[in-house]
Amino acid sequence: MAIKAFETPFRKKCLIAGVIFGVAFPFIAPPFILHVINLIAIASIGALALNLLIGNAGLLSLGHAGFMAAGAFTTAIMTVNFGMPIWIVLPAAILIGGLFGFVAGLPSYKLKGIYLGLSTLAVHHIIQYGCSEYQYYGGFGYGIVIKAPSIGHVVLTNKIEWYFFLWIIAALVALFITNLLRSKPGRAWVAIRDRDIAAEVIGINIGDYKIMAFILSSGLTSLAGSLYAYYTAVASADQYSFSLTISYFAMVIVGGVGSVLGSFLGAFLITVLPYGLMYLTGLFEVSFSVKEYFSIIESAIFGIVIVLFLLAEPMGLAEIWRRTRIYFELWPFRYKPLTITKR
Amino acid sequence: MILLSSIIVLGTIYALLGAGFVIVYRTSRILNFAHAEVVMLSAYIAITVSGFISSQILGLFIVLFICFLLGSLVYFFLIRPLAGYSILSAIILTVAVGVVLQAISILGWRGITEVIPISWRAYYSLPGGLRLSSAEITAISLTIIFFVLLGSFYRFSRIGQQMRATAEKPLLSAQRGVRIYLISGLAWGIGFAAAGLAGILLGINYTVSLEMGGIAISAFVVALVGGMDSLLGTIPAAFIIAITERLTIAYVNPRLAETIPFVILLLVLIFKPWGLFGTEEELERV
Repeated sequence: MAIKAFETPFRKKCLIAGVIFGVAFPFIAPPFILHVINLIAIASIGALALNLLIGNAGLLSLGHAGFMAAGAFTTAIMTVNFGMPIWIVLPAAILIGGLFGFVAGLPSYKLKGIYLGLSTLAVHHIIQYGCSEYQYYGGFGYGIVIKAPSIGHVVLTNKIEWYFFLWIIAALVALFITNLLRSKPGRAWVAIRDRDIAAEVIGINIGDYKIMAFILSSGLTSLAGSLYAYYTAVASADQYSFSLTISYFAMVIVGGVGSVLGSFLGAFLITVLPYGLMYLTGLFEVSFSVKEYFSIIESAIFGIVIVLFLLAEPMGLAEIWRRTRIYFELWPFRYKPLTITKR
Repeated sequence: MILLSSIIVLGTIYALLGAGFVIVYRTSRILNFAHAEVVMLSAYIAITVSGFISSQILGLFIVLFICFLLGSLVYFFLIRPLAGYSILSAIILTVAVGVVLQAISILGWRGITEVIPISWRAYYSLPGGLRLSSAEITAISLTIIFFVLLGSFYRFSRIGQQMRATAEKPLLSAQRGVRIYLISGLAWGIGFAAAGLAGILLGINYTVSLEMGGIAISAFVVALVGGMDSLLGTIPAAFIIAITERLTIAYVNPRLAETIPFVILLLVLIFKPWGLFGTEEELERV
């Protein structure tokens, strides 16, 4: 991976410039933009996890918000009741999420991908019920307040510290998934997605790999939920409704199904979209009713965006990005020369 | 006895909800996640229609026709262009359509909570101490009429036969001259109309509110417990769900009621995924 990034001098320069920009960015950006960028990092982790499941393994999960809630509430319970530090809580959140993923994925031994939509929907509702019961009986009102975590001596209170922490985790997750997709499990998932009978014939244990995809994806989703709870300093069952799942679906569809880059692009666009809309509605002073129903309009727009992308550009932004890149690489020609080029 | 009558009414409406879901699934193998939202939207449309049309039977038909049209439009403009892509994208598309429909019903009716008015208000005592209101009798009788009509339509009419053929083997029926797109569009329309009828019956028995989707989401559970490809299976499945749900409300914890169908769903998926009356081969067909 690293070798390919340094392939040409131009790429080397771009990479160095990118790293410098990435390090300098939090010190020059206004705090609100930094906040949005941090949210994008968390959303990217969630989108990567969902994209692994939908795009690469070809399994449907409608319980994404539920798994995030599992991570958030694990965080809440462990920090508030037991005062655990973050480096214990994050792995624990991954484990708990993986456990729920295992339960949701159990039917996948017998069933094909789409039935899992129903089982994950069921797990979503069960987790959400559990969380709201805990919140209700614990007397937490609107949500459980979580203290800012500390790594070593650094307490993560500042947006700049969060920026580095979140983006390093997001980059690690992306690297992990990219490598995983290039190794045996990744190829097995693609084989199962494309033709499960053929995959079984060449010796892939379908059930085990499906369950593995589920455990991994929900574990990472749970990690995203845990980070979100830490970052916003609150865990509330109402945050993790079905519309959160919709927004993650929008990220995956818009970004590009089965593409790591696409997860980042989708997370970026879908996270920025509501803030952009808010900016526009604030700018044009539209009527009060629009602001009142903003969250509804937001999820409706996500729905419309999903529909449009599915019909017009099913491979998402990643495909558009690939096409523009090829266009500029070949310019002024439209096609590659017929000789076999070194690649 | 109140418990019994409430179970009967909820069971019949659940059967209707499950039937709508199964009709759509049988012809196109697509899980329609917009089903619950159609139920809510149709109930809101029914409130508006009842506002300026005095004849209630006419109003019922208008709402059902709107739902039928909506279903066919969704099929022809959104689902059919996705033919050839993976079935996963079509399912995600129905989820997105559901969100849009929900937004339409929230923005259009501002989340009002109302009961669909019916002019026939009375109580009837049946032998055995059972007491049914006119709204409950309407629900039961309309559901029975719907199932009889649907059953005979599938059994005897030419289009119904073609619909069954399309469900069985789309490729072969296309070869034999069945216009499968038209038939699937009709099936989507009928499925949405069933959802609409269920929405109206929910609206006259309980209330029309934004929480209706929560009740209607049990349609998935009913369809799965009965068997995804079995229309008849929805009836016993609906009563199983209704009984568990009402008993949970009465004896365990009312807030558990919305979650208990999902526990059943998960158990059925793990242990008997083809449901009570479904065929085991169905699992391989998707």
